[in-house]
Amino acid sequence: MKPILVLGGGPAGLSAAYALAAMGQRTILVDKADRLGGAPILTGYAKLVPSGEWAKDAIGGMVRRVEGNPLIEVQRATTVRSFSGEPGDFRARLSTGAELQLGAALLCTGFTHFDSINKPEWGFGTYPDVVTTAQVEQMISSGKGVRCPSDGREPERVAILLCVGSRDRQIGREWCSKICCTVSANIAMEIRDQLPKCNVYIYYMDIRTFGLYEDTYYWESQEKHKVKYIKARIAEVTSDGKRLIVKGEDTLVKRPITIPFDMVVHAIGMDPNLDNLTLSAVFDVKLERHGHIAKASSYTSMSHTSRPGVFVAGAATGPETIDDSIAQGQAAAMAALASVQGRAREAAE
Amino acid sequence: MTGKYRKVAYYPGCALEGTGHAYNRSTTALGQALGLDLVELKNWNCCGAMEVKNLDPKLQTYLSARNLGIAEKMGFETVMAPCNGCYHNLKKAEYDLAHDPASRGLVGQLSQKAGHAAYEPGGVTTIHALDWIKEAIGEDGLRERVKHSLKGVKIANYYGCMYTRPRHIFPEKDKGPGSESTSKPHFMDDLLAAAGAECVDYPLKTACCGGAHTLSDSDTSTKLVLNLLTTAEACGADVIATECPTCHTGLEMHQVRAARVLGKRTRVKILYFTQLLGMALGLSARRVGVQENMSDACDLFREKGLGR
Amino acid sequence: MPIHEKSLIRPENLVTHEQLTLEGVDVSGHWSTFIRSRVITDYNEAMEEEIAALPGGEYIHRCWQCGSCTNSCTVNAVNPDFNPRYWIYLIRMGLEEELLRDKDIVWQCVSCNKCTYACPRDVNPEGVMKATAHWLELKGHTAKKPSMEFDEVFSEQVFATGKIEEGRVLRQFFARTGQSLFQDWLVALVRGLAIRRPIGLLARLAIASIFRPRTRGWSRARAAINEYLGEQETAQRRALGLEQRGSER
Repeated sequence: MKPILVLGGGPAGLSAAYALAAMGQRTILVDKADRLGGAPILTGYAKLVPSGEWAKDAIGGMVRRVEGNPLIEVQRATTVRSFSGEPGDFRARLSTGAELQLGAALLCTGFTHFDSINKPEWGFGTYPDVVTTAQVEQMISSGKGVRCPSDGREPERVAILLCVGSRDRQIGREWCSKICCTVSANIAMEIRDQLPKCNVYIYYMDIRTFGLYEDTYYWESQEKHKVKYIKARIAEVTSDGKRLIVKGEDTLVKRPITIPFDMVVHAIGMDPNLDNLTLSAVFDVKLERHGHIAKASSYTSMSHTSRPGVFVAGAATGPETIDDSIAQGQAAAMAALASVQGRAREAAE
Repeated sequence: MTGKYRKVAYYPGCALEGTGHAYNRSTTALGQALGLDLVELKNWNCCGAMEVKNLDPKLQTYLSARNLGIAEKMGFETVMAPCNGCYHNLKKAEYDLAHDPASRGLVGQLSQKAGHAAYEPGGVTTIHALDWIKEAIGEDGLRERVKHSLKGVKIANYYGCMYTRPRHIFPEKDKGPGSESTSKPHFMDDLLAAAGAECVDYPLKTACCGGAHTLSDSDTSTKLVLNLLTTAEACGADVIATECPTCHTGLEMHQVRAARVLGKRTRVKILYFTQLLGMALGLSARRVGVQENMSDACDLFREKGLGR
Repeated sequence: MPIHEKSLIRPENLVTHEQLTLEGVDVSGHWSTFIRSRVITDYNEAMEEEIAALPGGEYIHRCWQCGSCTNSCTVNAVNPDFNPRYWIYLIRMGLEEELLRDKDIVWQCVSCNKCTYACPRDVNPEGVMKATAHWLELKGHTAKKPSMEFDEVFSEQVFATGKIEEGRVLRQFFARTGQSLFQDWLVALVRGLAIRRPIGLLARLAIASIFRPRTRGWSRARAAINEYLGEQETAQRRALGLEQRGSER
């Protein structure tokens, strides 16, 4: 039987490739980066939600079991140039020049972090001590700890601004990125653990620590770690020359705020992958209206794209958690396998 | 210098025929000195400023659509409006016609009753006087032509509200290097710096002068303007450069009013950027209409050797 | 006994009896001071829809109270009582009495569009301020405010001739609002200008005030605009449950 292509080696792709191999299916895993692991590894996430395991251990383990699997062929630093044919009989050409014959394809192409430069009023790119959640994850995972980039000092007061690049018509991001509230609470607790003298404030419009994250992250951060939550969307971040100044309205007390901080963290959202237009053209799959890869149906065929034989899983379809991406990877593997084997059985009969 | 914008349709608007006449005078003089043709729209009408919009935004769309239609009928692809209010309204009409079927419907209906063709979006591009000079001449072109450098003149560039907000009506802005920014506009800074001026870091570039209530709520306007003036002075500016007749007149009027009513005097001068550029190109102070300004900058000109 | 946050106590809710004896104890004067309850007893459920029916108010239902409008607001920085975010909440919940406490400052919005620039839901708060000011006047809660007088003087000229003449706008506005044209600072302004003899400008202004600038062939546009305004007024008055005027424009 022809191999199945899995495009993207993040949580969804790693999970799909392993599931396919476990069922005895030959799989080709292609990733544009020079190493596997996707956003958690490439960005350098610290402790994952909700397990609390370090990303390099948790996702690293997924990478190792794929890399050591004889049924999985891994192609790094590689992209797909063209893709044609019918389910069960696809042909693909890679950037390496290799020609593949494939039974099906899985798009596990993930997302792109929002670039805070697109929200200049909040100081990113102007002040070095305005950083993103991704940068704070790196500070923690590198073992260097959370420090102000400008002079390396330990911050005594940190503001985390939620919904940066999410839920904002002004910049065409009309979706909730789902996990930033929980990630911010997680980071806030980590900062409070590492720097007990540092106070952390979270500025929010709504708090969306859904499901079981409510008590483990939202309540825990308030009750145990004394993280402060303020209902306010920030107008601008400026500087008085020494510290950052965060301005806004504390809506619950109806008063303007002008508060000094040592560090401001943007809880950046999940944009559609910058490559989605290319992917849509190469694989001839439709995008939904925000620019993510469209799913054919949520019920009878949740992993299907608009093109039969091409499947999708994880954050390629919209903001997604790591756990759900892994689950979707397995579901997509199941759907792809059913498609290939079903066709083979029909042909045999 | 590029051929683009060498000849464009010109929409001066009502203010440039009245209190903002110095802006009209300096803009046309600047065009002539730079070899750029401005062809005034035939039989144009008022854009409705902010007042018509307050009664009914769709009527403002009609008023601007009529003007855009005139530019198209005269065979122009580009109309240049130096007044922020006119510029904003033409831009807003273009956006609303493309995105709001109700606005389009009303423009169609009123145009028919008024006896002229309804303007269809996409026919004409609206630009500001800043876009015009920046694109047609550019900083390098200006540098070559400067006769009396503005060296030693410290300028706070004031853009006001209507040039950048709301952002969705300016699809060409915020497009990375080279494009104008809606949060920190810089085109006027770029042009005046090319003419030798020292542009100070002015944090209130896009703050509001209260122009909408310059007469109906004078006290608020005076407070807002006084803040603009004192901040410019604190930044070390000799001059506030303007690119809008409403802002310009508001700054001038409330500078006097702040002195008279609040006893707060400020020394900073208020000049149109076209006046400053004109004088840098060697035009006389009279040619660029400084005698029509209410803010008397003669002592500054003497000190810096400008406009002789 | 409810606990009262001191800043929330309004003078009109403080009640003191000059003469009062309770169970034989004289509690006259400040001994009898009590605070009336702040309980909200009903919602005006028509309010949001009425304001949404006026130009500018169309998107008020999108608001989720993030406060971007208030924290970017030019007027709020000068007067903290000017709070668009709070007013939008009051309108959406139908807390009419609360809104009416601020009825005399809503019109002061300067249309700088900072709110509209910041709003993540595209509520167009600037438009909502205009619609609310308009609603307050149409409902008879406030007299016509200076800004509305100015808008009308200005717009009437545009609708009549296609153009405006600034001197005429100024004179009519001062006349309608009962103010003297010879304001101390205006006189100083004109005097300062006249010293430098901008003869061309003065001549232009004089000519414009005699021969009003106008757009040629405007009469059909004027008729069409006036007809539309009449229709709009009828529709708006209907939406607000007001009686139709006897004669339209």
